[in-house]
Amino acid sequence: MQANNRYEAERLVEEYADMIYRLALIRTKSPHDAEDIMQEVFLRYLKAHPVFESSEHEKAWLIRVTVNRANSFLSSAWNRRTLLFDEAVLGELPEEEDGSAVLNAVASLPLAMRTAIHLHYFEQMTVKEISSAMGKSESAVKSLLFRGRQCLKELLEP
Amino acid sequence: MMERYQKAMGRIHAPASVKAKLLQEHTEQRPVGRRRVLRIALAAACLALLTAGTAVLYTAWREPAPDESVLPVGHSYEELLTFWRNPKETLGYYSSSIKAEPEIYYKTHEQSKGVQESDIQKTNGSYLWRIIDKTLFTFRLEGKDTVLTCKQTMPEGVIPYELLLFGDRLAVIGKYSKEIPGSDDGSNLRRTYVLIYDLEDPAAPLAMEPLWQSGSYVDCRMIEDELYLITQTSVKYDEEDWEEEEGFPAIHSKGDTEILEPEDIYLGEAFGSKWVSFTVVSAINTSKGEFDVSKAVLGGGSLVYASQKHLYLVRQRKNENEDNFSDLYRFSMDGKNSRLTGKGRIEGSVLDQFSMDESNGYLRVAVTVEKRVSLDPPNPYRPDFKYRVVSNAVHVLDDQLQVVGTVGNIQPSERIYSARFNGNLCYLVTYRKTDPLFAIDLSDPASPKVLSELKVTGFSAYLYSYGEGLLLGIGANGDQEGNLLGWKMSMFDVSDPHNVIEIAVQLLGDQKGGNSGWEFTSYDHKGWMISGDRNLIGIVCTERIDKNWKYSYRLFSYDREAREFRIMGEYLPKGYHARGIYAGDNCYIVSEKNIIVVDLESYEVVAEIDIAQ
Repeated sequence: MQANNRYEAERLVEEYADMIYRLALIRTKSPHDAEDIMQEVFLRYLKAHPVFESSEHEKAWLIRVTVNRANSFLSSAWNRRTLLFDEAVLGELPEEEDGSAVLNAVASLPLAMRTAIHLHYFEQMTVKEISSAMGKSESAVKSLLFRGRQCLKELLEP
Repeated sequence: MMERYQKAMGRIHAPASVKAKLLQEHTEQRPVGRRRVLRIALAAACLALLTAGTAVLYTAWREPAPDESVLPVGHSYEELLTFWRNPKETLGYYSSSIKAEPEIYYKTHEQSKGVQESDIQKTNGSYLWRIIDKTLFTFRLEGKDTVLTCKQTMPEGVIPYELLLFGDRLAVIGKYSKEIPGSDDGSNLRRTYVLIYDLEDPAAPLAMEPLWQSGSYVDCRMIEDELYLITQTSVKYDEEDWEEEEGFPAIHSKGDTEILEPEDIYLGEAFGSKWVSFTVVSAINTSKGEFDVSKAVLGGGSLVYASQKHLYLVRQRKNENEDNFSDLYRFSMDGKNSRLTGKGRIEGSVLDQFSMDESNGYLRVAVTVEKRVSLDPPNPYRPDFKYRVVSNAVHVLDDQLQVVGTVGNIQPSERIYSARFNGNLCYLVTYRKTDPLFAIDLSDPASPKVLSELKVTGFSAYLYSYGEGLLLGIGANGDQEGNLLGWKMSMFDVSDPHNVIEIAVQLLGDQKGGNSGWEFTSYDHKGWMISGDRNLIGIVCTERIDKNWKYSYRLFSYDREAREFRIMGEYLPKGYHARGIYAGDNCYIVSEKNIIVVDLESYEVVAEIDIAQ
């Protein structure tokens, strides 16, 4: 049992830790909160012991849980005031790459918009998958993506 | 631009230290195997001994009990820490003490507030789950845009019965039975399955590992996320060929099967027959998807009533004189600490769950009493002849389950057809030719008394407190001779219990009598949607028109001013087992073949959605 579990845990951390952390980060903009969310999501997985049909199904579930967990962190006043990424995140990026600008641009978008942009352009999810993960209709997701792209253009291409 | 985002984001990784911590935590959480359980049991036994020792000391010292009148105290450092570390549980505790919001969606009728009862469909206001045949259907409720989002079949051999829902957990109760190979006495392997689904994504419920408990399904209740499951099982005791433990009640979770320890089985009643029967009561934590505790009682009972604190099992019996009596078993519904807390015996037999009610520490039970009485003087030709005397009574029992008061001899020669308790009043319907509705005052537990009696034709098979001094009865319409004609619905004004009056009658379906009479007594009260808050009543109607049967679903409301029922709409479901549920501004009439969405302003059909099997 123990060996199996160890194997299972390694697989989960290997495959999904970064995915969950990034999504939580883009939503909360705080590495500290993202770490907490990551732990909660894993804990939830342990508690529920869900049975998945496929790896896509598993990924979709973890994303959905992360989106929901991150909601509770966002309600604090501190989070609503913080607009940009924490220094701690940007500090990790090399200076010469213009990474911080695009990250901060995405981070400055409204919550639903930046979530949709992240899931579509980083996690390569389809509109349908995003609509299920975020609990929004497909047309709403399409418009979030469209408006998100427009906003980013304005922010990044003078 | 998007490539730049991908590049920048790709460079961000979860900190290695957190990953390592997760790995460590994850490895520590492992399923509990049988051996470990035994070890824990041993440890628990030692602990029990120790505690018993302490208890003696404790009483000797007579320390004052800690004050827990406002908030519970920590009884150990560990308890304090556990409390502190589980903020989610603290929140749950908090929210349960906040008064419930007005109902915006339909919940299966709860006899005791906060104690959920199972049903073939459940809604949380945004989604609806329904069992049709062997499949669990999930619908997103959006008025005319309602869609099927998921369709799931049950594991091989499991036939789903009913659903329960709390927060992000949906539980399906199902049966599983199979012939035991090589058995010549036709014995079956019967199990009751509990399939718990995680509703993190309510559109696509996700199955957790299944649980099962030996025996056929009897009933269940759910308080928040704690599910109480009752099953009955039996084993043939053959002295010649007997293997220890074989056939004893067992529970199964997370891949492990555990046979109940003898210490978990109460010696209820001995029947002396070869088949040893058990009633198993388990508390299941649906959040964790595991059993908290399982207890069984030899004999036990199959009629279940639950108050907010206790679960009662009732068994109807007869003595050698053919007089009927009932055995009562009381379990506390207290999660992990659930156990048997009382046993009692009363004269008479109990009709259904609505014949029982617990209030202020007293249990009140309405019964029909049957006795065999010798003739006086005896018939010289048949001195042994005894005739049967039937009457009705309401017993009041204290917390030791001892009868402290009884009002008996109510309407001799008739039987109880329905009962409903409301505070210190009990409404009782008996029937033979006409339908007397009794109001019984229970405010003095030692001397309950009949306040009034109202005679109308037919009888009510189900009584429902509609609010504001109104009592709704659904049942059969009859004539003065006692012939049953058809269905009817009555509204009683009970604002003055000394003078109960029938103020409105609505006949349902044809009133041609005949062989459809059986339906009146074999009904399921969960099939009717009744809400006093929303002033909405939904009922299925079957009528004969010429030679054809018409199957319809009707919505009614009650006009308090005009004192009459108003028919708001009649709808024709494509399949059977139509059940109504309201959520927001719509009512959804779900049958086995389609959903009819009705707008509750205009009562017009806004959409019909076919359910493809």
